[in-house]
Amino acid sequence: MLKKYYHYFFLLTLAVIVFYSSDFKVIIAGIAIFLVGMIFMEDGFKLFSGGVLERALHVSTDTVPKAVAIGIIATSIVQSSSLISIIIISFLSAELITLSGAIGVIFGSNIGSTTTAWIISSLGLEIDIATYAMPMIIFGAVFVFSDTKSYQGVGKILLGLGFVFLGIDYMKDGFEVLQGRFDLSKYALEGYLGVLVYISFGLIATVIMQSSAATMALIITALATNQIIFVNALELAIGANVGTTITAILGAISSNANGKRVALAHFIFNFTAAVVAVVFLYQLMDFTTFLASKIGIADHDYGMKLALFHTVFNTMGVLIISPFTKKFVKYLEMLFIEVNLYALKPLYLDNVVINVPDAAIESIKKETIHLYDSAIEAISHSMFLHRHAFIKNPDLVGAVKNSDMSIDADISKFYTDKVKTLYGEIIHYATLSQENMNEENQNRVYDLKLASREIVEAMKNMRDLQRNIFYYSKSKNSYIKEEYNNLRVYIAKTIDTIEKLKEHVDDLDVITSIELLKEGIKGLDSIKNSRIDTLIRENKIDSKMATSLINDSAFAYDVSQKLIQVATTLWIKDKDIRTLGVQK
Amino acid sequence: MKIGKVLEGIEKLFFSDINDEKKQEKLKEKLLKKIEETKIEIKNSSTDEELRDLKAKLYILKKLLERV
Repeated sequence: MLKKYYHYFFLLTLAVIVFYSSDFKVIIAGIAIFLVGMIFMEDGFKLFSGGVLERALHVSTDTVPKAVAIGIIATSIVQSSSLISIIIISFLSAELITLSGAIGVIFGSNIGSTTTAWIISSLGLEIDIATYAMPMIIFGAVFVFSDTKSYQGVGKILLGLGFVFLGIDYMKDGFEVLQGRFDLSKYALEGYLGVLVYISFGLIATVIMQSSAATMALIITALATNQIIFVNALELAIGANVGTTITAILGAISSNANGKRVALAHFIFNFTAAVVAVVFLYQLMDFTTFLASKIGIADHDYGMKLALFHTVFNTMGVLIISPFTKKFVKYLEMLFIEVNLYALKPLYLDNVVINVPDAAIESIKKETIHLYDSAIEAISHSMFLHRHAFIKNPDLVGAVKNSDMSIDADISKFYTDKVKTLYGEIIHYATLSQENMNEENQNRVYDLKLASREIVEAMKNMRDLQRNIFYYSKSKNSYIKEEYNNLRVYIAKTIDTIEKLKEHVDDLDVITSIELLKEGIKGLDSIKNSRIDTLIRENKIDSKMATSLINDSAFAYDVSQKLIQVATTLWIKDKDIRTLGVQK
Repeated sequence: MKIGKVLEGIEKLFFSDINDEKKQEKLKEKLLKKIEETKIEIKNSSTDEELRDLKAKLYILKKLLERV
């Protein structure tokens, strides 16, 4: 509600400024064009990289220094720290990377995002729009209409760059015209009042524009037209750095625990760097000036000196916080714990992940495991067993046969009320995720969808079995009672074996257990099983019992087969070993 | 198209999967290694139940090797 009123207020304020001030209108138009350029560039890199970026982030985060390095490189190339954050949060949610790896990338991304300031100050202010930006926009627009995704990506990047430079040009023009009427530099503030005021301005501007790059563009163009003094520009840059984390925190409010942890890590890091930068502001300013003279930046080139300061203070932040990464991670892991293990709403199907193939597959797999765990609870209860009573129990047979049959569980109702929705969510999510995948990944998702379906069908088969298990448990005929207990033992053994094989690290041990289990349940195949024939011939069971037993043995065999197939799909990581398991 | 080829090159260089024949060879090697390990475990087994389980495991591993 508050967000809606904030938007109306913002739009109204913007309308007033745009219609009553032509100078500010030009600057704001420049910001808008700049932001559109950043969006095009981000989209362009997504299309162009085709999964290379995601793979690079996935494989380069096993140590913090590597993670920082890949964060710097990836953000410098794609020019979007928010894109990197989104990918990292998605990988973290799918547990493809660790929290320390994710934090390392965020640290590196902070440094990498300072390249925007370098680009703006070195090229953006000097570039001849007619010579460079306009051709970029023209050719970018042509490539965008190409058939191939790579060329579309190149087109969007060119369009994006062109709009970024055009936006900077508009901002510069706007400030130059404003300078003629109104000299903002007269209102420059020094000392700690200036620090407080300008850091707040930088923070607020970044929160409003949702982009620290746009704020930096604004600061650099204002600096270039002498609308602000150098020290105030540094303070604005520090504020922008903190402001960008507030944007991330606002975005993480509706995110899962990992999103919140990364957003908080980002805020703590930037806030700490900001505090240190403020305390040593004048010393850092002098150091920047000294470094600038060593690397050939002209003394009057305040734009590039600002870019250098931005890089220096972010690098300083990383150097200060990096030694404490482990403690930092431990602290974050204690926060935002989600306690909803047995709820039947999706736990892992994050929309942020859906366009990142590896992460989407991992999410679907985890959610399918969640579905499996819920189904096993229902299946166990439908056999009047508690899972903890028979799983990993050395006397499983005794536990099953001595259970008291008092559990009141309607598997049909459980399926309709709880499982059906989760199953639907998995299928829907999996289908949408397949749109951006290559054939191999699509096949993997198809296998996971099939596994979900088999879990649900196993539950439906238990529905028919449950009635007769209960009915014949009360029978005075000990033979039929024993046979139905045996059916329960077979299914319980299947569930128990699958629980144990989850602990195997080697896929060959998993598949061996599965193959042994397949051999073990062959006794349920009643048609080939001569035991039932013997019971009929010896009149130990009547014809009604015999037909029930034959049908229910088939259902039980089917349930076990389906659970085994699901285990093959979910717990064998190697595709080739998995394929071995489905062969007869 | 050339850009697509460059990307394919980067993928092959850094993220390439091995071809089918090499995969089968690797899988066979893994299975053979596992079979040898299981045979050693059989020799060192102490109980009848353990021996039975390991023999069943060996049987399955040999069946899997035939399927490769």
